[in-house]
Amino acid sequence: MSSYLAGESSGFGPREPATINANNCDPPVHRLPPEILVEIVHHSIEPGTCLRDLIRLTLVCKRWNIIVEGAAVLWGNIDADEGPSAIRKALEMAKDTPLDITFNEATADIMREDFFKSIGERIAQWRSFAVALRFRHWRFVLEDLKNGEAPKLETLCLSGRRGLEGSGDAITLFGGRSGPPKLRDVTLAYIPINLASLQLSGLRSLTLERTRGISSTDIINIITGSPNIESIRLQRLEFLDAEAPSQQVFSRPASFGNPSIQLPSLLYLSLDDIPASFLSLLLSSIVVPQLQTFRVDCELEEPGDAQLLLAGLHHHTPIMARLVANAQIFEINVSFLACYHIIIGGLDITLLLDDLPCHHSQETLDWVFTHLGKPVEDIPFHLFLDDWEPELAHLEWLARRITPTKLTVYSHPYYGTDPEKIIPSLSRPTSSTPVTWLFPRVEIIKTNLVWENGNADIVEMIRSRHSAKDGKDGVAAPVPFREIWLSFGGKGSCKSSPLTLEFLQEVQRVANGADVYWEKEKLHRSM
Amino acid sequence: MSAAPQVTLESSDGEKFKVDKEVAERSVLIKNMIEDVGESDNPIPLPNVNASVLKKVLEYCEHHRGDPLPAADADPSNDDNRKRATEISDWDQKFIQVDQEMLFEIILAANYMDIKPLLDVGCKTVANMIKGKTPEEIRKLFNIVNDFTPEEEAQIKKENEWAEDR
Repeated sequence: MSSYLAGESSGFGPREPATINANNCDPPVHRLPPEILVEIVHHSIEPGTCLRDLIRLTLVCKRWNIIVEGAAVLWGNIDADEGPSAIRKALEMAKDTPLDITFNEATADIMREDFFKSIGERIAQWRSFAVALRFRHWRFVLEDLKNGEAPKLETLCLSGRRGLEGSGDAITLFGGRSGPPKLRDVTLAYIPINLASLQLSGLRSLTLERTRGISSTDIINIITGSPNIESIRLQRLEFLDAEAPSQQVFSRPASFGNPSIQLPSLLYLSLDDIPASFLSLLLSSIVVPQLQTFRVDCELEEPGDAQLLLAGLHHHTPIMARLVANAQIFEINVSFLACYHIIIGGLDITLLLDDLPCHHSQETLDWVFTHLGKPVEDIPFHLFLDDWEPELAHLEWLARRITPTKLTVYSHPYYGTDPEKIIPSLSRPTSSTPVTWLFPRVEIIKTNLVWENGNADIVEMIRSRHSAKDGKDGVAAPVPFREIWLSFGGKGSCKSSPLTLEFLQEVQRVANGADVYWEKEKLHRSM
Repeated sequence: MSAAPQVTLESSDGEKFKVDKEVAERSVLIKNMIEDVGESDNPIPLPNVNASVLKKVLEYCEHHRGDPLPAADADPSNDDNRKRATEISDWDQKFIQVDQEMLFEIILAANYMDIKPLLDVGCKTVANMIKGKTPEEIRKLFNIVNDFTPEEEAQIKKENEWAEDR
């Protein structure tokens, strides 16, 4: 109890220790000892208004006033959004407690020079330092970190915006000394930092987004030195392909099938827009038995890139199978430029295949589909075709590989490509062998390919699929739609033109009892 | 298969509760007592917890008997440790839907018996009750008397005018 209250002063009258003791006449809440009330208050304050919340609580009664004002630990959140007076008060009340500093240049309610001057004097107390910067003149923000020491720093988050990454040389922090010993969580986005000098190790999380001044060797070094790391997010580090990490950074030589870095605590791994060569090396170097989220986003420009990626993924196939086994979400989103986004539970793979020859694209996807740990034809995908007008042969190939139960065909109302072939191709069996209906298990279809005069292709597609019978030649009829979701995809606003209404009536007539929705509202059968 | 070892706990009002040792040891206090004293048939006295509260506490321990125990070295002042456990599970929310008298007694018992997860649930529940409320609303909620003189209250408000300006 005394640890929270020792030495505090108040703005009103002398205080007797007895004022914080409870007696039988007091309300039940007063029976809580000060340290528990402090715990409760800590849970109740909201980010961005912490200091105002605390002042509010000091006005409840004398007991609460003494306890809240005397608990330095409550005053350590220093958020520039709260303004200069609040920050002054917090720094005074926080005494020597660890400080969690937040500065968002877009929302700060204090001159940034004043803010960094006031907190810079307390750098020895910083526990977390999170800044979000917008403007080009930002280097002064890091002056204290460039030259000072922050021995208590556990979290460092330096985040800029697109365009800042190229502004000047990478900054060396802490006078070139190694990073703070307690540093566990590091996020660097668009801010160029000399990572090598920090010699980071023992991290719990690492996020690097378009961070100039780092090399693939730096990243491997950090990961190797952080065996208990829980989260790795590497994003938009295209420049890494200029070099490959030297083999000396591995405790034993890394090679495909011979992973050398054990990461038993890693739960989250996201690798987005990093060169295929480094992606492959990293994936083939790590062992991640507990992974819960596995994101890979890769642009495959050449057949060699695809081979590298698949070689890297190869020894993670048991993990992929585990993530798929527990999945509740099954989605494949294909957008223009042949960008395949496959989401199955915690597995999230995006492959941009536009530059690959068609057969390499199909081989790459085939590899993924056959390494999901269960037959891909048993997975009830939601297939989302987003402004994509594929070659019919590719669509037929896809339909032979996956069996979605839900299909969305979408075109952006303003800059969409209004695909013309997809709906008609769903209206009849394929002409190629083996002859089959495209996506025959689709029960729910959604599309906005509806214009001022409706879309006769949709009516025909529903009519033909709903009237199809199993053929003598072994062509199985598609299952009838259970739900048909339609919305207006034309430019302007003609959502209820007479022609559209006529079209909807026609859809209902051929839908044979399926639920029909227009602009998310279910239509009455007697429409 | 042999039966699970059991211990007997005795509340402040003399009621005895025979529970599985594994359940009782959710309390660090009891775990340490058992380790210090060794296996014994004598009831373990809990002079600060009455029977109705102890019954509720044991209901919580029984439900969470298999849960991993919180790390002994977790720094309670670390914001990250707080954020990780901000939410209260559905079962815990239902469990803690009790009157104020019982709520505070459970918190005190959890504190005394050193059951950190239960203490967290209690603290978060009270925190949710006061979130966003004015001082007057909090006083009304907990039946707290405003013992500031008008001058004292005015003085605090004056010193913290900045807190009123938005």
